[in-house]
Amino acid sequence: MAVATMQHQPVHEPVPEYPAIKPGMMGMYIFLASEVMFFGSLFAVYFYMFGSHATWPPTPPAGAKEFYVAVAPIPIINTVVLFSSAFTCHFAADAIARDNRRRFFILWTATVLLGLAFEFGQLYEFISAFSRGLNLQVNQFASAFFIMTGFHGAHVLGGLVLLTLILYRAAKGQFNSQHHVGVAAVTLYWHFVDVVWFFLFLILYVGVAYHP
Amino acid sequence: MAATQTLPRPKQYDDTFFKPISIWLTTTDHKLIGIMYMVTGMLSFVLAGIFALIIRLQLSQPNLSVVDAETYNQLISAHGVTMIFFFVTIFLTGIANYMVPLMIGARDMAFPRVNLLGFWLVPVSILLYYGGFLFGKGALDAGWTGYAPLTEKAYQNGSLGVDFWAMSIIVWAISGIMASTNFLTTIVALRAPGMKLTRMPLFVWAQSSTSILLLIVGAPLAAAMILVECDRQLGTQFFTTQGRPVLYQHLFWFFGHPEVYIMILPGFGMISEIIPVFARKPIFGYMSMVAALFGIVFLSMTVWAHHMFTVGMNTYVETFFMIMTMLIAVPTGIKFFNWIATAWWGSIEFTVPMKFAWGFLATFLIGGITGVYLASVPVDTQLHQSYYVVAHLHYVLFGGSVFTIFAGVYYWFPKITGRLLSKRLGEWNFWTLFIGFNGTFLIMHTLGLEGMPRRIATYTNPAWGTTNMIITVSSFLIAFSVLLFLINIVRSWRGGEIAGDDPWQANSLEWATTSPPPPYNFEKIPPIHSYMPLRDLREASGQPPVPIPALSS
Repeated sequence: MAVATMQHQPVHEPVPEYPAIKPGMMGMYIFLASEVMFFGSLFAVYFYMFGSHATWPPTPPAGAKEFYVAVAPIPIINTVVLFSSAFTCHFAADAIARDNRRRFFILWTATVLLGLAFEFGQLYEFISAFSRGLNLQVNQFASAFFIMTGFHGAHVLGGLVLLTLILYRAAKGQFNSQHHVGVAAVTLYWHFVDVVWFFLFLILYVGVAYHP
Repeated sequence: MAATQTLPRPKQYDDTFFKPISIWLTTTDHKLIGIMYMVTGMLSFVLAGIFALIIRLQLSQPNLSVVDAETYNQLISAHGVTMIFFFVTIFLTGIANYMVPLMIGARDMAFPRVNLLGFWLVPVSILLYYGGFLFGKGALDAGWTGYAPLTEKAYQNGSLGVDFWAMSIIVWAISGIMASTNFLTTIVALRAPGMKLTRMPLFVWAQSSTSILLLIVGAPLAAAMILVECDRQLGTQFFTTQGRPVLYQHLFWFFGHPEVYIMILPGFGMISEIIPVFARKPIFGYMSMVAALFGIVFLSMTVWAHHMFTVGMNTYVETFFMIMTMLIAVPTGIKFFNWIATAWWGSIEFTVPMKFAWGFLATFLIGGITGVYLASVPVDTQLHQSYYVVAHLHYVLFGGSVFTIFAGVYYWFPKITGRLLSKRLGEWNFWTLFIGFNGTFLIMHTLGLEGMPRRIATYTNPAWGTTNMIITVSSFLIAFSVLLFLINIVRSWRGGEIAGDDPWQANSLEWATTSPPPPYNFEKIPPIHSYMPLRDLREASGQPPVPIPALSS
């Protein structure tokens, strides 16, 4: 075996396979990193103000007993609604990966409806808060509360647009077990929106209602 | 066997840059989008340079009133915003947009239409900002940082300039996040066969670290601007005098400090490409260069509050940020020594790109050292609001980013246009820029030490008059140099010497295709067995190294 000639042979390397993760999916993961930083900054703003106030949330204007948003009933219902939409979304994506189109349509439509229900619940909460005088100008807690839940709501709305687009594309038969990157990417986004809500609910609702 | 390993030569691609406007508007070709990024950046450079000249005229003697104080504040804000957001970042994105897919052997970016949208958001952002001058009763006048509560409604006297600025920066951040997502996906998913991560050119590594940074800090910037807008338009209480104005500074500088690395890391990448080519040696310490890049990425996000030493933070917090800031000198020093070790005992050819690369090393070193001084809390407390900071900033931004941009343009212009830039004009460009730059900013250090405050429309101390006059004259030398550069670009683009595929005998993959490359980039991607595939090809084919053509740059 002539080692000298081997050195001059072109090195045969196994041709790398196409990356296991598709570019569309990878793009969504990378994009969500910046979304994490966006909501992360809003949470950082919230905790900065939490730490720099003697009483948090600041004492509401005189006489308003149930001034800030309570945990029950709408927020807790909304939480259940949004988390169940995560399950319907996940199993819908699972269904299209197995070419079960009927099940995909049922579960995906359920996801859209649950997302809509969440948005209407939030809208109801906002309107009733405004009507009892809790608005963005009251104090720093109110500002942060509305901006954070408002931007989350806007992201849910964006997610609903994406979900509807996927539904439209699926109706045209563009997805099957081989081609469903769009479905998977939107599912990922929808899960992200859910996770953000988990922290919002924990900090803005439960944390404010039950903190020592 | 040599015959099979020669460079694949695609058909001569008939490319003219005088394409119909509909092609420029709708193209998803990363190369055309890259050119549009670069042209946008260069126009911003000229515009912001004109602002700088007006500022220097105003400051050339004590008690002048070339422009009134209100206009002066708008001009320094526009100079800073335009240079940082619309010139350096945009131009570097353009170079990367053109070069990254070529260097990793890809056909295009991963998301070409996102690339197109991301580019067109940039002119929208620029027009939004300048809308403040036309429709906003005066543009932003609080400096490029736009500190709260100066930007709050109570202190703005009905001007809408801040709104135009905040909107513009939000659009800019969205565009930057799109570009970063695109770059990272491209670099991870679309590398040619054989192009392992450890075989990527250092410019691609630099661009991936830049994209990671912009991806992480772009959103906090957008958040800061959104909260400023909410304060102004919805009456929220985030950064008002009842709120927490210092919180704005934290959010802004969490973006703002990594932004200076977003503006310099691609430059580091270019220097890491240029020095090995013209020293005819492989880069010294490839892996340590990559490690240093990511060291900088990590450290740059832990130092933001060194911009805020005078706002009255806790002493222990200040100490933390001081130490972290000084630590950045370590990875940067690794890169410096690696560049010097690369050139050490190489057969160096001082072409124009190489001259700019060494000009960068000299000026950036001064900027880096004054940075370590300023990182020290007691020193910074003395120098914070003085011209010393202005000098430091321009040494790292102009001596750093702008010199690397010039080096990159002289290096890659032959690839982009197929023609070499004129060496004569290039030499003039380099020496006038180097002398003009140091004449402008070196003595600003003494001006700062003598106590001249920055961001003032005029001054009364007659002792500062002579120094300021020298600075103003030198700044016009910079303007002359940039004019030479633009003339060189236009003349060489129209009638420069034909470059050929690989005029520099370079190492990386973009030189394996025609100049300019065809829309599909490569007909056949050469085999990649190391991080210098073209050097491997030359050695395999037994060609003796050809010297650089003497007449061209």
